[in-house]
Amino acid sequence: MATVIIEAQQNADTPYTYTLTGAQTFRPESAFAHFDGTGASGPFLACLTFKSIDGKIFSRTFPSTAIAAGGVADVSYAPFPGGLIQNAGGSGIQFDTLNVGGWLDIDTTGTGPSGEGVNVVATGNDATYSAAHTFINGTDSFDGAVTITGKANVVVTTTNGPRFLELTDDADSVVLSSDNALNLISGAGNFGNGVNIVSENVNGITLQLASAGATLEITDSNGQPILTVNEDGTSYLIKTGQAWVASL
Amino acid sequence: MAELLSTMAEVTLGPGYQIVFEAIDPTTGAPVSGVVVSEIAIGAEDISGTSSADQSPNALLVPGS
Repeated sequence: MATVIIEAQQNADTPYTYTLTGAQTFRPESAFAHFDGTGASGPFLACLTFKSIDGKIFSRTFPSTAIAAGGVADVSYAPFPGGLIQNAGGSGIQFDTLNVGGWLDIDTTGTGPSGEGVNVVATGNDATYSAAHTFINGTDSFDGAVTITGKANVVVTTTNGPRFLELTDDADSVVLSSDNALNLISGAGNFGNGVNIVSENVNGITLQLASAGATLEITDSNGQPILTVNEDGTSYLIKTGQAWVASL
Repeated sequence: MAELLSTMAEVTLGPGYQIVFEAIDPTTGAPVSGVVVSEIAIGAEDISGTSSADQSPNALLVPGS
């Protein structure tokens, strides 16, 4: 039997329908269309749909990636495209295309030019991660150091009640480091009991004044010193008008 | 410009059956407006032997090999 080529003669808005005529019976072997989404109202899947005589869909196929609004693409349809080459990068994630699918699993075993196994750099704009539930699951783990570098503040917010951020290291210490002031601030909300520092270790708690001339101060609600201890230990100040009372 | 590939059902189509090129929303499946298709070509095995006589105003059948 002969192979025929059916060619549309003009541009057409989607959906574009070709209806087989009275005596036609054929088996499609391939199809091609240029999809122009310059005026598209949103991202879209370029579909090839077969409908029965009564208009019911019995097949609808489309590429695994959607075309972004404003994008254009040449789309080929074939019964077994798996052996074909799609772009220079293969059949996976593509650039300048909205990649949409059910899931994405990234598993790398080598080191790329960046020196990393996975390296994400968004030069044009910020990289944004959005997840309906959890982006980094509580059972996930990281091998090696985790570095978060922000252009401004790095904000971690969860909906896990009053304990919004927990740093846990069973093997060593947890270090909060800052080149400037390091503030632990408890807001005026109803959760918790202010700022609590608890040591369950026999070594207790150490507050070290590491710079000469530094002071350790306890202040009142106006910021006025109640008790001051100098780094050299030479003096302390009790709030004016208050006596030092040792309650033993 | 992206070059995309898709699988396609292996079916035999008879008179009155429709081949539709359409754009749908990836999330909702609803039609997406403002999309234009062109350069449409369908290669098919002509079982009826009558396809070369098609006079559809929107399509031109060219006998192949």
